[in-house]
Amino acid sequence: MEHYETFNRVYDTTRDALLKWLLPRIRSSADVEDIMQETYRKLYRKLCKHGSVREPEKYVFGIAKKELAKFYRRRAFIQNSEVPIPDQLLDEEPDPEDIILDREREREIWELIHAEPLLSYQAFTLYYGFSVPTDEIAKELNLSEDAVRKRLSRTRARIRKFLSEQNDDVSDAE
Amino acid sequence: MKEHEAYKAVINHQIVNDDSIKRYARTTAPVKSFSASRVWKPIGISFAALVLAFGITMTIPAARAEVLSWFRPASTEDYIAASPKDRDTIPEIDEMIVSPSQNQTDIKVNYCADEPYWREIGQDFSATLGETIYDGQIILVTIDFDGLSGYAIYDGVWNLDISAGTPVPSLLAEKIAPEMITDSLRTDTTPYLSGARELWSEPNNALILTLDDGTELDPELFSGFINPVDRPVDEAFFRSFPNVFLPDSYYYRELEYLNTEDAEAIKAGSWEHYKANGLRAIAYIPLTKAEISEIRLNNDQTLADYIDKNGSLTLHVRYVVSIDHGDESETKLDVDLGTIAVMMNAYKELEQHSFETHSVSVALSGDVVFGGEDIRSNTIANYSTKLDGLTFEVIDRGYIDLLGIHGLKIAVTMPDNWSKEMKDVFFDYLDFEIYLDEEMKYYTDESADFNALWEANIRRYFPSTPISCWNDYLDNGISIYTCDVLNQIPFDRIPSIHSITLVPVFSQIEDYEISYYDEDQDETHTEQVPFGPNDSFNFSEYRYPGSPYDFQYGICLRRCYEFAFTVKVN
Repeated sequence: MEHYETFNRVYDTTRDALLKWLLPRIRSSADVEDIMQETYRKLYRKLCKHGSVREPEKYVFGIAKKELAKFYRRRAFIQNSEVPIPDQLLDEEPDPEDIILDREREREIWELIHAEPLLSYQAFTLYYGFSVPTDEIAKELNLSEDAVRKRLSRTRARIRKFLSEQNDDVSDAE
Repeated sequence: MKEHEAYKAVINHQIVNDDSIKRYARTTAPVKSFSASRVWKPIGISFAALVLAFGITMTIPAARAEVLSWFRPASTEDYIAASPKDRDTIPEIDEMIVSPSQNQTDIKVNYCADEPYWREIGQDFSATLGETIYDGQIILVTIDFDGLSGYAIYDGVWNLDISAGTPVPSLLAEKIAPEMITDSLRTDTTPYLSGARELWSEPNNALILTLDDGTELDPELFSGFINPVDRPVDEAFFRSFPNVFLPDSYYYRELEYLNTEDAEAIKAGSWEHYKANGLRAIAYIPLTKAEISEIRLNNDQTLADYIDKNGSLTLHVRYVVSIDHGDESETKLDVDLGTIAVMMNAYKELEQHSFETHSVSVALSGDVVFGGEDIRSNTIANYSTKLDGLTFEVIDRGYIDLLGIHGLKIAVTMPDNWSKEMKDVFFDYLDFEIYLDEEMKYYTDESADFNALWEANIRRYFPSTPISCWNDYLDNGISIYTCDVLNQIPFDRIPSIHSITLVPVFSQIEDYEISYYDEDQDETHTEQVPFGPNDSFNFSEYRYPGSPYDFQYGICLRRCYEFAFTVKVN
């Protein structure tokens, strides 16, 4: 039980940082979850064996790096090249009306985000999910800051289009 | 909820399942643990499915299975495996080869375990670096090991026939304590975890590479391994045992047909055999063009920066043998072998014959049943539907040279009325059978494991995983299927190839099987369930970390000759 509490504490304090680190390096959230599973399994094992872990964040990242390297061995490592995004998507639109989320809507929006080109998906997830500033995202993904903003804008436009179509459907149904 | 708040909520709720991660860690870490079920993602075909389809249980140690996944028996490999005096010369391929005199053997034993067998392997260690060649995807290096120096590369006798409870480990294998078992096997591991049966770990080898200026390449990103080469003297040795079944390539699982007595005799005999004859091997160093030019090393350069003006790359090679006990690895041998030079650009000089790709397309129609595993939802499903709207179109400009077919890309447009799940499964499992001049049949495949299951005199593979199967930058729903059949075709056929015919291959789930080990009865119970054209089955409750069940399914392939299409070669 004691290990469980320590484990939960370490998990809660390292989870976001680990996700932020993994996201630019892996495309699929299923693969991200696989690596996190293995990483935290080894952490828990260590806690069971030794009772405690010195510098747990360092330890967690150390394992995650090894797991990531194993993952790379099964994948071709190909960086994505930047794709120019049409200028009309640069225009910032005002926020839409408040969005109402239920489980189904969450899943639909997530699928849209996940279906975006790799760099757009990574940029969007880091920016909105983990509040990483655009200049840091640019460095992480090897893009210009302008390119990051364009990708965020394009993904936002897609989601808004989807939401507005959903609202039209609801209105028609009514 | 404001827009940015909604996005944050969506991402944090959907990106990973925190409860699942925590549960997995707690239930698998202390005693037994499995790799996540997604480790064996299907590459064209589910590995487990083929195992079931052919009724063979694969029980290869995880490290070895990973090694095999890199191995591609190939014409270039056959060419370099034979010594120059024993092969028919192909001048164009010889231009790509660096001769042994330009490589520098310089042996230094950094470490050798002070244990039986290892001591003998390490003392008087002697090997000679031979030829090197690079084909655009992999560096091959021949190495001749003297006496017992290469014994750890010889596969020995693996832990065979585990299901019958008669493991036969090699001389160098070490038993894994039950509490250390962490890798998943394609069978129920309960007997090993309880100590009722034994699990052994075989040695695995790796090559550590260093550049001329001392920069060591990260072994997790750049490494290689060594495999033995088939030789008549070794084959004669194995065939001398009366109960051994040896198809053409005996370095794979064919040794499973041994009985225990023969296995012990082979083990003892192999030690003396290799002591007297040494071992010839090939080192494989996978290195794609992208890895050369895009991965930044610790000093912020790329490998491309180290290729000199003559196109040569110099690598120092260190050979390391280790044995894994679960998550922990123990080094047994560490030897500097010397320096190799590799011609990195010579393969580009080969004469190319391009395809005619314009207006090569086919539109399919009619009824179909296809199916497979959707790894996103832990479901297997068959779909009975219509093909109308499905098209294949050959795009881009590929070519053929002496190394094989390059860049054959097929754009796959799927019908609009197919659901996302159908499209994902269809594309995951879609393959093409390749005919050259409508006479020969070649597939491509990343895993040489499949080779062992097919007739030895026909090289059959499945087409390689598409480079881009996520519709990146394609807004119109087209997926690209890429086929690079390198080193798969005998050299003497290539100059005369005038056409490539592609036959789509669809998959369908035939049945599934759930088994579990009854410890009291010491036997495995199995339930086999047939699978219909519109069936689906969620196997989450059978395949999860710590599950006492083993879940597998069988797939049958349908070659659609009626939809074959042909590309002319110039």
